[in-house]
Amino acid sequence: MNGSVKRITVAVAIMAAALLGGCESRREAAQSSKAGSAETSQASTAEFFKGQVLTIIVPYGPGGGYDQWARLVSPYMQKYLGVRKVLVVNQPGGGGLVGTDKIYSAQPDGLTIGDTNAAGDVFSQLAKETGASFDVQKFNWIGRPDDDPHIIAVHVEGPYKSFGDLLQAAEHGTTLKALATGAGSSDYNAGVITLNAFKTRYQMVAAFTGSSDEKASFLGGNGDTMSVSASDIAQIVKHAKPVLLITEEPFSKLPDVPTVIDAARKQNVPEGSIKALQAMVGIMSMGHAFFAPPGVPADRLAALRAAFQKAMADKEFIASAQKADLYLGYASAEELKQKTDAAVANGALFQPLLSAKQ
Amino acid sequence: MLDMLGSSFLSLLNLQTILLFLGGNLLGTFAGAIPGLGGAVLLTVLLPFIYGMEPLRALVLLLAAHTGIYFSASITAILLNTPGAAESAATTLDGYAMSQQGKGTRALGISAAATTIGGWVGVVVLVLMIPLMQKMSTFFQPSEYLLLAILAIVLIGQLRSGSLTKGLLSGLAGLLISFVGYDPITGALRFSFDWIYLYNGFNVTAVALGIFGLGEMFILYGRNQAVVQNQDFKFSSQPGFRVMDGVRDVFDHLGLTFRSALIGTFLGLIPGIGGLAANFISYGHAVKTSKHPEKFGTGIPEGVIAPEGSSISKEAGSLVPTCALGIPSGVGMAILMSAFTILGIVPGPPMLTSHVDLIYGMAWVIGIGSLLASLTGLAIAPLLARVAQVRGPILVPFIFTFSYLGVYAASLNPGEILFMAVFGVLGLVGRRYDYSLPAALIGFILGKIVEKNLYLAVSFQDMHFLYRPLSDLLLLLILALLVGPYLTRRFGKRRNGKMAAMKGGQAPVKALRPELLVDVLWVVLSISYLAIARSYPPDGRLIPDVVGVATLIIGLVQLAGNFIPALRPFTHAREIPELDRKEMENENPAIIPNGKSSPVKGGDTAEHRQMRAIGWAFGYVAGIYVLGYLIAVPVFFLTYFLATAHRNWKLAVISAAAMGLITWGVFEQLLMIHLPGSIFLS
Repeated sequence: MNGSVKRITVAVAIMAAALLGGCESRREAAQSSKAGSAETSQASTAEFFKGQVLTIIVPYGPGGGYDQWARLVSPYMQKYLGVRKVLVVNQPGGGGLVGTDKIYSAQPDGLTIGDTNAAGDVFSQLAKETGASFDVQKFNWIGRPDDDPHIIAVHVEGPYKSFGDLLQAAEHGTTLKALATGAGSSDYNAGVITLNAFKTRYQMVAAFTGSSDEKASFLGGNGDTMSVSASDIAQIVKHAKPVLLITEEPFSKLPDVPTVIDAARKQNVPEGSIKALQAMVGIMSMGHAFFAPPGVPADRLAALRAAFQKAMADKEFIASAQKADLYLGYASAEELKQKTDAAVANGALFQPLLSAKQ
Repeated sequence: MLDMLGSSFLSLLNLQTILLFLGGNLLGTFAGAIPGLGGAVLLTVLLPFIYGMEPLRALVLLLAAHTGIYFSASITAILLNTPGAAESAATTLDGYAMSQQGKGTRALGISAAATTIGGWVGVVVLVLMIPLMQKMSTFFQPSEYLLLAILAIVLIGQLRSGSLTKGLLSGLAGLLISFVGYDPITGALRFSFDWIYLYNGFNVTAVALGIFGLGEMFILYGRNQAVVQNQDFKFSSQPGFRVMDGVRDVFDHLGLTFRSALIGTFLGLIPGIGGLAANFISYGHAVKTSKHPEKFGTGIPEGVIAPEGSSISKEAGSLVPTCALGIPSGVGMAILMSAFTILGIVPGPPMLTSHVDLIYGMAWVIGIGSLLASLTGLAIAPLLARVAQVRGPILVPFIFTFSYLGVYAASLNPGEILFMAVFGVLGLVGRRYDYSLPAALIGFILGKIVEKNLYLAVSFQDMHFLYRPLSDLLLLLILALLVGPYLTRRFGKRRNGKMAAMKGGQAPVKALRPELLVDVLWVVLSISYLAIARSYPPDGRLIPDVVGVATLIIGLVQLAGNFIPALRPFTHAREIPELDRKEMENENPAIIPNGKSSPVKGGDTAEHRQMRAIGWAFGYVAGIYVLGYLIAVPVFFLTYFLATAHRNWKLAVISAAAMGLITWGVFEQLLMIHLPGSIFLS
């Protein structure tokens, strides 16, 4: 008995010593980084952030697009906001709902923000999904780092070379197998609305944990189309060919790919369906958007937005994003707010196409 | 290739890189030994430090930590039946049994040698595969995932179960709970009861730690003894008990070590299934190919070699899909992907042309890292093994605390600690009535994989999968495993002692009585499960319905076994009459999973004490919810050690202060995990 007490005491003492040593070195590191960001302004808002920890919640696991943006931007948020440290926390679950809820209900002191699949959030809210207990119109947007349109891609070595080929095949009785991550996700909904607008014969195949899982299945030769972001296929151009942009405007990095709206006009899709497609692409253009919970004081929100904007213009940041093959394209908080309001207002337009039987 | 190997090795040889290597490895070795901290937590914490680092150095730090973790996660699995990471649960089966016999040090020696050799086998395969990496993309189809999952279930299904039906029910139970949470196929939230903590299903760390770790802690507390009974005996210096004996065991079973390593590497190649199931599959294969399968689980070296041999090799294998396709096959690899972004490396085909030196570098790190971690482990093994000589009631509060902290750190979900405590009780009940815990865990791990790939296989492949040689091979293996035992039985061989005990299973109905409640519960729970599932869309309830109905049918058979003696060999076979149990207990106390009704001083039975341990566990959870971690941890230690049952004021004060400090210093400050505070203060 006594022996074991002694053993534990010794073990605990060692651990405590190790721990104190660790704390000490960390504090030093903190102080040096504080000194590094001494040029922050004198305003009280800047004072508030100084020495604090900014937490960025990512509603998905490590390794995916949301995680990538949060981690890329974090050193620059630290630099321009003047915080001591930026902490990226992955909180996956419920197709992103758990993490988004956590950001939304975080203490509104400006020290917790997150990046979210804004399009997915709008769809969840419109569908009144269980678990979507937030109101996207109350999100305090900070900004969007990327211009990375949604696309429909086919196999490079497959039988279809264009979106027209797909439509023709479907007309001749083929049921297209369309890959998407999971039912109810934004890429799934975009696929359903698009394919329904063109009255295509198709079957959605969606059971994936994320876009990389979906990509793996596609690369394995499965499915006819996949619904992903343009940057997702940047590294696999030998295997995946984009045939349709889910956007209103053409995309400079993929100049030969038609937009879904152009394609719809060309195919004489009825005006009502085109309106629905326009409402849908509006939602899909929201990208990986950063937001703060409702109730954050105005001055802190302004500081967050300003820091984010400065980060986006930072040469080093731009270089690191390009190095990682990500598609930059800043959008401001106002733009996101407009998109959100329009999305919620126009939600009814695509509802029939979304709920139509496949 | 050889010059690449050489040059990438030389680029590791500079002071800074070597320091990062050693530092990372040591950190990993320590973190892995704390239940729950293995896997993702430490790596995520290290990520912020790699900004601006040279890519190779950053990867050295992360991978060195990663290999350290996978080695040391087995330490607690061996010594305390508490897996440091979910992957190391398979090591508990024989590792812990060895510890109970005082052979903990030897088991640690086996683990160290087997992981190192396994790691190197994995590295060699990885290096050979680099030129072939690009072809990997079309290698695996849904049918193979599905068949592999089924193969794993077949391999593990009957492991350590008291009867045929109990083995089946264990696996089915694991499958049933795996369907909780968001379902990507239909978008439905299943069995979540609008409770946000359940949206993501149960965390695998909570399940593994609960059924193996906490369950064993309840038993240990109930026995009021240490894992090793004879505390004065200096085990680690006796022949047969030493580290070197363990190393020799591995060299005596080199064939098994290599096979396990190859299995691990192969499974690591397959994104999504490899990591978690690899060690179990490797263990299952060892049982099936052994000349004495009945000895597995009683603490034989082969039972430690098999899961440990694949433990780091699977990580080497999983570098292939991560680098070649940008598809991570486990949580550790997913974090490596994050690191790639930070470092500006793009995984996928470009990496194979522009950064192939990095892949060779990583191969070296895994190899050397596994060796380093093992050497550290070997050096401290005799010291560590003494944990197994600490009396249960003193050990238990520490394991509770680390588990509750670790599971929260791994999941950031306060609900998981409650679930883990519940799984702890299920683990205790399961062990008591001879259910198979490994089968339950493997069912849980593979449930969603089965569901998803069945759906994908039907969507894409239909019956065409039969044209795929790999699918056919797996199918044949499964058939061989299912039919094989009946064929051998026909030739009259391989009837072991366990079977003999089955014959004696015609126990009087009276002895089965306390178990009747469990048997009734199977029926009740599976009916409720099916009733709840009725509200889900057809695609979302198909597989849960199939599993639920199977559970109901087998549950009914199980229940009928209470009243129809003819069924009993299939349902309650290993129920050993009280007399035999006493005899076995005298012979070798370690073999009896729990010292049922062995009276401890003061007329306090083991059952009473187990109930009290469960009370402490749930009280602790409640304390954390009400007071928050920072207050609840010291308060718990004070209350616990000042309570009449284990009064020791010195230990109370010291442990409360030290564990409070660890909670605050290590978890809040160092790991920067924001622990939930008191509900009164927020």
